[in-house]
Amino acid sequence: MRAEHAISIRYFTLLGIFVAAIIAFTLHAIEMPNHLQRPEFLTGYVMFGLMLLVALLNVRKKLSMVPIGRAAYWLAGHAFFGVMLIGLYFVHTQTIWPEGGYERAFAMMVYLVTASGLAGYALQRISPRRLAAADLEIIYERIPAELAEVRRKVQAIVLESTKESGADTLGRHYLESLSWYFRRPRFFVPHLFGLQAGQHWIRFQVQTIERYLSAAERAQLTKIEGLALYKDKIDLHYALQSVMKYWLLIHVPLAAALLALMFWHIIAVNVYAR
Amino acid sequence: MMDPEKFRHDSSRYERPNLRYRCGRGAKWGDPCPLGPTTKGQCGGTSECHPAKVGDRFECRRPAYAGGPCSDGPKSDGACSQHRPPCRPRRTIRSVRGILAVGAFALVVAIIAVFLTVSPSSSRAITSAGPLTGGHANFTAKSGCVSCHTPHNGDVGGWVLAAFREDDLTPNCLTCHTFGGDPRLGHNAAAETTPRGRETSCTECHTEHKGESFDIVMMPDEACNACHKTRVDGFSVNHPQFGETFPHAQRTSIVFDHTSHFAKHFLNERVKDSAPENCTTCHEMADAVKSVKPRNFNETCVTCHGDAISSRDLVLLRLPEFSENLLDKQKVMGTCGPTLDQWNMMMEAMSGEEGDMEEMKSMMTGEEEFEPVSTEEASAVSAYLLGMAPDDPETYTKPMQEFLNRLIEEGSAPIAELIDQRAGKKVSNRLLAGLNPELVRRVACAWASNVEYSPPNDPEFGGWYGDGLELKYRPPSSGNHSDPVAYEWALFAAASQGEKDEVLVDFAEVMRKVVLSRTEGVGACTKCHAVSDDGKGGLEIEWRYRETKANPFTRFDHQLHLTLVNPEGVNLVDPSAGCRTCHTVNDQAQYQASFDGSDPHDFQSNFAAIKKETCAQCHNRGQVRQDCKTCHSYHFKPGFDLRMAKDAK
Amino acid sequence: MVTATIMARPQRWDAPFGPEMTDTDVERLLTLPEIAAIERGKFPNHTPLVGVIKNDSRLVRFEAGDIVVREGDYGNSAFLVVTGKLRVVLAPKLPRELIGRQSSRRKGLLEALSQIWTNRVIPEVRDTQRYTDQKLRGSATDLARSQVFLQDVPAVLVDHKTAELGPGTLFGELAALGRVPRTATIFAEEGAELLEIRWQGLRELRKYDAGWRRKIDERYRQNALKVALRESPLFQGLNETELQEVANATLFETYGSFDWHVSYKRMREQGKAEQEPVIAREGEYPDGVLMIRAGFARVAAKMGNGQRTLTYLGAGDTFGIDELWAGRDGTDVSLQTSLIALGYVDVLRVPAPILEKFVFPKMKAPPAPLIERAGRPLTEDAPMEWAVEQRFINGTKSMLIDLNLCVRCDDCVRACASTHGGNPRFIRHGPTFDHWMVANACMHCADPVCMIGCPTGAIHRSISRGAVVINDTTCIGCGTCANSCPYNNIRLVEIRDVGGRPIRDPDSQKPILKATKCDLCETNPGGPACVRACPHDALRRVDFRSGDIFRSLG
Repeated sequence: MRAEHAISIRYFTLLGIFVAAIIAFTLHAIEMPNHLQRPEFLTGYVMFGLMLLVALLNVRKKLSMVPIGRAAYWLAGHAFFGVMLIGLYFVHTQTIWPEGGYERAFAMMVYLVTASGLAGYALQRISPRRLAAADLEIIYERIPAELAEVRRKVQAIVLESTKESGADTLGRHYLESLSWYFRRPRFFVPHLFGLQAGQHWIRFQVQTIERYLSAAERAQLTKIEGLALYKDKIDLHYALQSVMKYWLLIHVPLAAALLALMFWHIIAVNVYAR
Repeated sequence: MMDPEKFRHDSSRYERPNLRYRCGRGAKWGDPCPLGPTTKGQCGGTSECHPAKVGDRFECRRPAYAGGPCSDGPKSDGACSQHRPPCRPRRTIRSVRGILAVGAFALVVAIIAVFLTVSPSSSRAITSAGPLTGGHANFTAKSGCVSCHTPHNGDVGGWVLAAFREDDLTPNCLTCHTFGGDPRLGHNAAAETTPRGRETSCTECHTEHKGESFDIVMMPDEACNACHKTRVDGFSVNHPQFGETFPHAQRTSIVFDHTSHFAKHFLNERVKDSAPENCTTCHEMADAVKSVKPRNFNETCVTCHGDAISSRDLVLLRLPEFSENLLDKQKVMGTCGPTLDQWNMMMEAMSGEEGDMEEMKSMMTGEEEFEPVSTEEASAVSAYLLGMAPDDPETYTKPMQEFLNRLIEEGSAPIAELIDQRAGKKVSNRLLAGLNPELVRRVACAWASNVEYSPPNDPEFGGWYGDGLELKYRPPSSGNHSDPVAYEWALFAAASQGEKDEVLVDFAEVMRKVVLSRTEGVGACTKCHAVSDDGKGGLEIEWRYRETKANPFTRFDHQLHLTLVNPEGVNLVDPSAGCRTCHTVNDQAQYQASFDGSDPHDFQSNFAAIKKETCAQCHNRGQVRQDCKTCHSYHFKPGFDLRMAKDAK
Repeated sequence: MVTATIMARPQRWDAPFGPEMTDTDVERLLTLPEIAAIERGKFPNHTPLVGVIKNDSRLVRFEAGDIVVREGDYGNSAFLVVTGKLRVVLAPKLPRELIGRQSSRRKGLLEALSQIWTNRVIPEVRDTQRYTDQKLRGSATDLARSQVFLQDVPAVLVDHKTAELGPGTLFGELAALGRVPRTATIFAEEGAELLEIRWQGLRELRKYDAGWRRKIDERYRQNALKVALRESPLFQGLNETELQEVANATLFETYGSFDWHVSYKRMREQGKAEQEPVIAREGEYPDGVLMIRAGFARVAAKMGNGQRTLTYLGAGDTFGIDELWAGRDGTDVSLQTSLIALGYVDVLRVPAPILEKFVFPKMKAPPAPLIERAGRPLTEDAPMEWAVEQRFINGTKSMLIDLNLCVRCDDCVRACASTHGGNPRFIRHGPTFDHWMVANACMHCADPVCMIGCPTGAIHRSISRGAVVINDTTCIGCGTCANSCPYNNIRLVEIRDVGGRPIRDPDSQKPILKATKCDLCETNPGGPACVRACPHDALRRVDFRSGDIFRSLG
């Protein structure tokens, strides 16, 4: 079982050869101005090839029905070659901020795509552990239904308590404060940063209303608290899973724009700089 | 934990993350219906089931995951009884992402297309790689990109063609920039070593569009190393050692032995007080760049050498030893008149005894044995003019005596004639300027009569004079250090190098040896003025101080260095020590011997060669710059075409 | 119906196997020679013979051409021929399409690629043209009577070597009692009436009647035992005679319930753990080596108030050999661990003297005893303990997701959908332990309870790769498999036409259902697409029995 998932020697060798080729090529490109040759075209076209390879990840994700290599290897390659492209980018441009209108837009795109990619990669390494540690699993698309059910349960408890005790304390508190919480996922940012703002808020709400409740009502409050804490876990999932899905809404469209600019750049330099 | 009861196979269904829409109620955090949107994006939960007609009754067909058949059942007309108002399904995140990606791509393409078509300035914004350097920007503003770039059509075909065709900017650069040589060859082909046949273009080294203040002529050392086989990483590091005689490529044009002057002559009691104090006394620093020219003869050397010129004479003709007398004595006597002895003899004969008359007769008829009065050789000049070996009486007697014959009758004309013949042009008037033909006659007469010529007076002011067996010229000592006749004779002698006649070639060489001799040459010109190959097979006399040959690609500015201080802390302007920082006298050099031959490149300089290490004392890492461009340049005579001023394009 | 004086009758008799069985039928059956020979007195009062016959068996009628049992099917009943003539196909085996199987033709690369534009957005679209070719008698509603039948019996008889099975033949007891797939296909040549006895009834008959016991045991000993013995490494060095002696001395034992999945489901839903029968107890003295023939058992050592699982054993594994080896010189060595049945276990017991005579002389010392594993930290074995408790050990291709790596992107589900026409075949949820999740995808069990009872043979084990697959064409949507699966891994879906409308049965107007589940991407090149698609290598298809699967790679 272990051997099935260890990265095979074959892949490592292939990767090693590719990396060695890129490094050798980069060193050659750095040497080229010493021979009055312009390395920009060579580095540019190599970058073009690498960019296409990197962009092919999007295509690969749609092609899992044919055995063209594990998506995990493709992603590793995408990240790895993306980082190599950063190095090549600076070798190619010899500057941090180029002159020229469209070239500046191009550079901006490169930086944004790279930054978003690195940030997203970091997110995807960190968030799963946090989600696993929550001791709850819920599929993202089911969250609205689950929250609706929690809300129904809480409302049922509140109604039952009101009917039993005749007092509207819980009901009022629910309308004043608790309903806001159960309406939709809350404490998005604190959950992102691993802060316990949700639990803190629940504790505060419980402590606020406790003193006005009878023993029977307190029992119901405990049930509500249980549901609120359960919902807090769902909120954590909502926050982390949202970010793990939404960051791609920045990275992919920007990358598409980057590709468009890249094609234009190739046209422009071939027409005017050769 | 997943609640197994809730997700039993008969009460739940597959999750489908590949769907494009999700329930709108759920999107707004309401209560999502279990039926979900249709694949077209419309609400699928407006009615909960599609009732089925079984027999004559309608039955509810709500699926198990939505709750199973409802208790109310369908309405009597067959419609579902469980309704809810439709939601507005929202797109899933993935679906939105796909739209955004395609949209972003299309937006960029659209923006580029708009920029290209709206106006030329926007078109430039979308294609230009950056602003031009200040100079270029100003004059291209009117005509735009085509000032430098090859124009192309604006349609797709034009772009495609342009993409595949090379855009050679060099011809456009050359409308304003000019060079002393071929702009497409290395160093503009001004160097003697041929670049390896490789054509260059301007854009190979110079890049534009890098911003207004970009230094377009900046060139790193590596650009030079790209072609030069000997790699230089830095001047002090591995620049090749300077030449063995650096900075002197050839011997000086004026023979001035610094060593002997410093060591001996300047210390001589007689001239000590007027000797120069230091280098700058003779060498003019005020406008020195590459060479520091010594001042004129009249400002420097004249103090001691002002009268050198009249110390040596030119022997035009000399009466050589004849082997026999072929002259017609009577003719001679008739033309010249008798000599004193002859006159005395005639007197004696006329007044006297028979024996005298017979002596006279024999003398007149030439029967007596000929005893030449001279035992000398012919002059080298006459050897050349007459084409005869000056040391062999057998060969030269006849032509010389014939020549004398002519001279006694015609004076200096034959000489002039011969001179002009030899020179190939009329120069005799200059060479023989001041020569009185009568003098020639008299001298010739004397020699023809086999007697020495005795001059009437002493030529203390120089000029042509006869003396005994020689007809000579002495440059007048007027304090002026040039004499036109001596000058012309030196030129004549130098020109004889080109003598083509097989016989005359040797005699020309003999003449040159004498006339251009450093020790005997007329006027002592060649004592100080070098006689050198002119590079075309001939000789030239270096009358003037020769400026250092301009190496088109290496610069050295004395002025810049004068303001500096050497590593020992001596101000380089200090005349006593400053120059010696780099220029040190080499006592051992065979300076004078350099001028024995005519090859100016075969020489030893008074000064030790300047070594690279001298310069590297300051030009090294961390101190003064040591990149190639410090001393070297690439282009040969770069200039501007004046048309640029009129904004011709 | 037997009178109410019977006490504590088996609960299962509340749901008799054949509800239409009448007393008359029972009377008639009692006259059959095979049943008449049974000694009624041997049966206890709470399970009388007539009760067994009435409640644990039923009469089924077959017409000419009907297939009675298919080769490869799992079944839990045996058949006794009452009247009629049956044929068992010997060689060559019937083509798989004839008995309802699908041909697992693997798509080529190009065809697999073309799925990218042939996959539909509308869920569960089917091309109903395919269905009209099926030879299906009966309708979806009359499930008990649905049969796949052979159209051309004479041709089959000509092309295949068959043997006749006439009245009085008993067949299928091996599969019923031994959890072995049916070894051959049997069909009716002419109309026949069979007595189908479910396994509980068979067990009672075997238990109390010597004749039936002998018959059943002998059959097993003849047909299957030696094969099972020879496959075990313990008896490798024995020759034919020695093996025969061992076979003669071997005892059969069964523990646990055949229907373990029912009580397991109850356990899952209500949280009540079932009682696990102890086969051999720690501290007792072994009298022979136990060899698992079918099912699962765990080897456990006492730990506090519970039993700590050291490992679990499946078909072919042995228990007790360490202690017997240590005690072969005569000393009494007691068992260091217990053997506990998981759900259901069939065990062979080879007595110690036989071992000493035939096996030990040729055997090398066994490797380190299992008890040494008890020294490992509890946390190391905790996931495995959990997997055993959840009966995931049954699975050979369980879907295990490492939650520390999974970014919840659903790429795996989308990949599964892309290889199944746009329909995913699993759900990315399931029981979790620490950072592991076993997802709701078919585990392709070693003991596939889902395969029991399929009326058409649509669910079967694919020959090439051993995966359990459902033939969509022959499935009639009865739900037997879905209800049997203890893990809810099989789902019935409403199929639709290309317009998106549900396809309904013309008579009942109920939507036609088909059973669906993970098929290990049998018809797709490259194996399971889910594994390939995970961008963080978080998903694996594991066999819990093999090695250290809980070592995470993240």
